[in-house]
Amino acid sequence: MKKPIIELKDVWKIYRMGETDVEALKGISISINEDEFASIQGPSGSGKSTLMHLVGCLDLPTKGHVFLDGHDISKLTESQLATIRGKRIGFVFQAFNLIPTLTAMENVMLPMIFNNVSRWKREKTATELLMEMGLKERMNHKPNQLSGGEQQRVAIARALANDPEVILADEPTGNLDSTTGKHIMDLIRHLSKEHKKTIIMVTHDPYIASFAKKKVVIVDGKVGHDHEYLKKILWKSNHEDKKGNPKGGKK
Amino acid sequence: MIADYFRLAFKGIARRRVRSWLTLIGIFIGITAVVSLITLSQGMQDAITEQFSKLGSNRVMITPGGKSFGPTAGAVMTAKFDDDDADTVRRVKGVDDALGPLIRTASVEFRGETKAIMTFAYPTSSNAIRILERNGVIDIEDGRMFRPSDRYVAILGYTNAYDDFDKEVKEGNTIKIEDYEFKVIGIRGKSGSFQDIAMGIPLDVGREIFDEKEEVSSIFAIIKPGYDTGAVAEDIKKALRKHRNVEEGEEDFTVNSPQMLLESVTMITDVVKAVLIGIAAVSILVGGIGIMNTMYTSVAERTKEIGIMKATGARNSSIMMLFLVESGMLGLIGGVFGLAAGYGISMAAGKIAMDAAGIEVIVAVTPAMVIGALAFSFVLGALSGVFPARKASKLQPVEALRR
Repeated sequence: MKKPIIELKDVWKIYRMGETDVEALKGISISINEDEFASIQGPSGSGKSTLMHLVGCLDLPTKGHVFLDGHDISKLTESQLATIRGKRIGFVFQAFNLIPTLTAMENVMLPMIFNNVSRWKREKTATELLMEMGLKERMNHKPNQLSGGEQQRVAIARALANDPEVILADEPTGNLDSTTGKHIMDLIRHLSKEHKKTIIMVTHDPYIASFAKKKVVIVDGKVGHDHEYLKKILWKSNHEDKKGNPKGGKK
Repeated sequence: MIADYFRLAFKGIARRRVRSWLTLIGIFIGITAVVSLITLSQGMQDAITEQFSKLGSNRVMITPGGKSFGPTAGAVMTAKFDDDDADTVRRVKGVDDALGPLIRTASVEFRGETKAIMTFAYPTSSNAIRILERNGVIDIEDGRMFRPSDRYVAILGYTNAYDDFDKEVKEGNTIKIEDYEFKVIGIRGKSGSFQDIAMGIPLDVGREIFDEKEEVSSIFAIIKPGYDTGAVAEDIKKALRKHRNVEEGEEDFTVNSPQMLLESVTMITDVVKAVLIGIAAVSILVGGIGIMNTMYTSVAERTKEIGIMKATGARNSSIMMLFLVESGMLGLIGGVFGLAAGYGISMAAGKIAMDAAGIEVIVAVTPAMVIGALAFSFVLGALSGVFPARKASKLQPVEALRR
């Protein structure tokens, strides 16, 4: 029996926007086990990014508890949260989020600098990870000299730098064409299978979500249960923009 | 680990090269001013002290004529001394002896060549000779000193003897001063002062050839050991005022001791120093504000990067450190260039002083000063970056990532 590595219990996140309170999350409870590959789906504005931030220790809930490996992170200081982010969580973002002035190699080494890893060890680890990502020839290139797929692979290598237990991917294929996206998803599946990482992936794309074993759907700040209703919502969010016009055409 | 922060900070600076250079200018000017100021003023102080110590600190020069400006300037400029004034000075307590030479520019002929040479007609009583000798006023290299019985004899300055005439003037030669024949009895050694270009003759013959019965050009007093030169100089002033019947503040004479000259020179250099320090301080302040401004812009521009770094495990303190090192490095680079430029300016000014006035100003940059200037500029830069760095470190990761 696998134990849960991430557990959310009745988590609320309320933002104050001027005079009104906006409830982004309304009492969410989720449990994700070790080594699990989970996707969090939901239309834009559903609160899935907020949920991602809480799981990634980038933010704290207004109410409720977030447990990482049985420890309540809601009570930690910013410095302790930073240590957890550095050591136990790796982020992969939609926009890659590499530091533009640093080479691929330096970007991968960055989390290790903050984690006080020796220079020698940093270079060794970064080289190995970039080679694993098939970027042997690209190590000393800067982000603007790399294609989107290559940048995302550098970002994945960076997420693995401190060998974290959990990888959080926020729309990892959102800025990529479908072929490259598929390649990135294969890599993420590889992390799950070969590296035994717990993967939590946020997406609105059902095809991308289909790579995951466990699927969580978020609608209006709550975990959704009505499957027919959810299908409709998701279809809508994938094929229409916010005004209700069919997607495509303009872009 | 700190080396990594320096590397990261350097990349941050290198990215916005033009803006970084512009930012550096303030610090650069400030450090340039401070370094050139300190090295130059130290060098000048040393040079001046050296010059005055050559003259000796136990002497007081009294010259006729007051300050060359003010309502009574015309009258006091025409004032003259005579032997009575010299006697008055001699009687002041603490004065060992006083000499009153007559100083004129004489036309001197040697082997058909005529030159204008500054001539000091010294009293040649045995007592006066003793003073001249003992205080190094006349320091003979070749030949001999005056004797009380000497009449038409001259002692030449080093330059008079070796450079003024095409042919070298030697001891025993005859020269013509104002058409009177004089025998050269001695040549002075090289001193590096005005004594090299001045010739000495006995006062009696001086009065005769220049047709001056009474006048004494200036009075030269030697202070007894154990007396304060400055205090005795004040007493001399008082005695001369009484003797010449003038009110305080309207003196038609000036009393100078090397010490007093040194003090007034020091006062002038202090004023110059204060002005330059003011300029340097303003420049450094402006430079610091410039760095602060640049760092604020940098934090705003790199908000997203700060978010990324926080997501990858950077603590608030790491971000703070990164930006502090970056602003400190801006200051440091300004300091390096300022140090070089300041040293260059000092060297140039020292060379100008040497060429123009023949004063050797030794410009020295000590290791302590290099370290001090660099440490100062780094700390200054870092301090200017405290507020921007704190702003960066306090950014919420989620907010920062949203940019």
